Amino acid sequence: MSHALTATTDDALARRAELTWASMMAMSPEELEGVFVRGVQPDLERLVGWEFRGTNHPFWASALGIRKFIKGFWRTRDGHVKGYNCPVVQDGLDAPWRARPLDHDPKRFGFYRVEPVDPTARDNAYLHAVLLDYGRGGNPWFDPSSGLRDYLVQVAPGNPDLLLGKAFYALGPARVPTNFFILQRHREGPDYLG
Amino acid sequence: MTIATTYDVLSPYRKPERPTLPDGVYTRDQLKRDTEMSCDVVIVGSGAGGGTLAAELAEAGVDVVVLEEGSYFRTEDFGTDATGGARQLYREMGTTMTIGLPPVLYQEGCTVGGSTVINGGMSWRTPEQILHSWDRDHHLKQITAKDLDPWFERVERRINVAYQDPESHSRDNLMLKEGADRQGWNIIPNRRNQVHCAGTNNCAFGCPTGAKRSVLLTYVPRALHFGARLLANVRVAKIMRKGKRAVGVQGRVVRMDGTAGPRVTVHAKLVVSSCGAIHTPALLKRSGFRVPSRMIGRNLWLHPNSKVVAVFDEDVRGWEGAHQSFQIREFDERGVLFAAVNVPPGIVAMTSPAYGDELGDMMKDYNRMLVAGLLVEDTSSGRVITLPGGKPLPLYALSDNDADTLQWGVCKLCELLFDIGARTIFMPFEGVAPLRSPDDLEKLKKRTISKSGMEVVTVHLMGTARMGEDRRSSVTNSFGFVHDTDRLMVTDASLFPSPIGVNPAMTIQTLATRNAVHILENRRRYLA
Repeated sequence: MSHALTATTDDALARRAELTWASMMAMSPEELEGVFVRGVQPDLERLVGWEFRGTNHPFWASALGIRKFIKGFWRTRDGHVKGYNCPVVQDGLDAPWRARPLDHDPKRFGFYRVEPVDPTARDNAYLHAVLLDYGRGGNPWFDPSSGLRDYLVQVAPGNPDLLLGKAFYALGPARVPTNFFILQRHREGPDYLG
Repeated sequence: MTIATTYDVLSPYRKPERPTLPDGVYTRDQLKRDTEMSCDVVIVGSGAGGGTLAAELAEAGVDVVVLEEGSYFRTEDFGTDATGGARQLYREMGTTMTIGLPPVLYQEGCTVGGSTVINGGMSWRTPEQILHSWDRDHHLKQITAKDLDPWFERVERRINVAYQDPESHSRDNLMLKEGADRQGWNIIPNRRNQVHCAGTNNCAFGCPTGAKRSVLLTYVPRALHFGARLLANVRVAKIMRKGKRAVGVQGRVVRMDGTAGPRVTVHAKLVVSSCGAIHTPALLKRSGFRVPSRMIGRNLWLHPNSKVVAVFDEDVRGWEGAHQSFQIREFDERGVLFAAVNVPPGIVAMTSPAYGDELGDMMKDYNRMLVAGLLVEDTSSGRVITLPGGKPLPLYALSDNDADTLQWGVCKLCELLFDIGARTIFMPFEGVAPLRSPDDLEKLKKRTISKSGMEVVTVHLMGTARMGEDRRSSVTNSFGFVHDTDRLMVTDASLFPSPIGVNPAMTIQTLATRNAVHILENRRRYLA
């Protein structure tokens, strides 16, 4: 009776350990949801001081020119973890990620605060994730990125270099899921941005 | 020495009211107005899971409140009035049924101490192959036999697990052993939580001597001694939450007539549901909790039981001795276990498919009856749904495979019983006449019994909030914390990822002990 379920569990766990950027890019949103739910909470210390090359999963991201991006994380003077986005040259997924306007001096925008999800807060959809809260990132009030709420999990327990995110947009009290994105560890970033 | 008791010797069942209660126990008599309190941990249910967890946490200095729907009784309250006992100690007088083919009569304790007050006291460790499968298939942490060994030992010490004194073996059990030996079957003495059990055979209605070391007599007093508070006669309606964090429970006092009385609200840092595999999923659902697997209430296993009643030419007097002294384990591979289980005349009559004159004739032979039962490790599962209003409704259909196993097991049992001289055997199958010879048995073996005509009962309900490290296929993590919620824990047989094939109390208590240690090792996370 339970054997079928057991097999599913086993297969899922085995697959999780073998997941790669490429295999996740080939998945459907439903399959990514399964990966996301099975993920584990990333260690903030393994994020701070690093930049990750990001890929928005849905095909329409290419049309909007946001298929590729870079996310970075740093710790503020008061001990909080924050992050930023950098625009990236959209020259295909086979090409290296090069930040704009200059790879060594990129534009940084879309700031967010990073914290384990608070079960009692409004944004508590995935308790095993960390929340990238753009509403608390210090962005200007008119910046549309302020409405973003991203949840981020580590795909496999033993691999802190591959992360899966799920983005929502806040419309008042409502949260509209928009897309999945994948992060791979890219390079060291600034430890501190103020 | 066997202490012989008959059903007219012990005093009749007494009312639960009493002038004094142990410190820390509150009942409907004290809870006459709305009550609101705070604590570190609130536990819903005081049975094998809840009572054990309460004692372990209280002993470590945690402020614990236990809420129990049933009443508080003491050993001297227990007698041989089966009907009174069922009314006082069982949920809905033990008449609860699953919906499906066949309907399964199931019983749960509803009293302080939970089902440990009304079980047979069998204390078997979880079979190693089951733990191995939980480890292998569900990736549970700290679940191997080696991991659990210290917790098993701790529970066994607390509840005095031991073999029965030989003087207390009842004749029906000795006859079963004789039969098993003649068949060459493996039969083993039961390990039971008892101290020099005198064999009054009243396990199912509360041990009147205190020999059975139920949670009522072991963990509950321990918890109270270390400062826990126990509120009896309180039915919990829902778990309060703030976002996805459980922050307490709300319930109502249950009046003597069963109606809802004053409100009880308990605020807590950690909420634990220990109200069994039927009510835990219902409580979680009606409190609005959801898990990614959507499996709350799924995977209900119940070890389908059936029984045969064999009548001998000589007196058996099965009530003179312990409830179950032996188990036949010859057919473990097939997931079948046999035992002699003497039950009071009222219960035999109630659960017999006979009626009218046939039932009357049958019951005249009560003194010469040997009641033997079998337990099947089920291979299919049911589920618990909640009705409007939040009441649970278990759905369960016996699989064809399990029905075949049940019929096969009944026939094997009949072989043994005829071999030791049974004159007539009453069958648990509707429309099947009592067997009067091995020839009748051979004819029965060639028939296929309809599932709808099978009399199936159970007291082992498991699996409706199963543990697992994969959120997509389980309800809680390895330590009973409900996925995608905060500070909400389950500690009862709901946690089992599969049926275990043996009596579940020891497994529940061991998991509760292990989970208590996990809480204490992570106080800042769960109790800050």
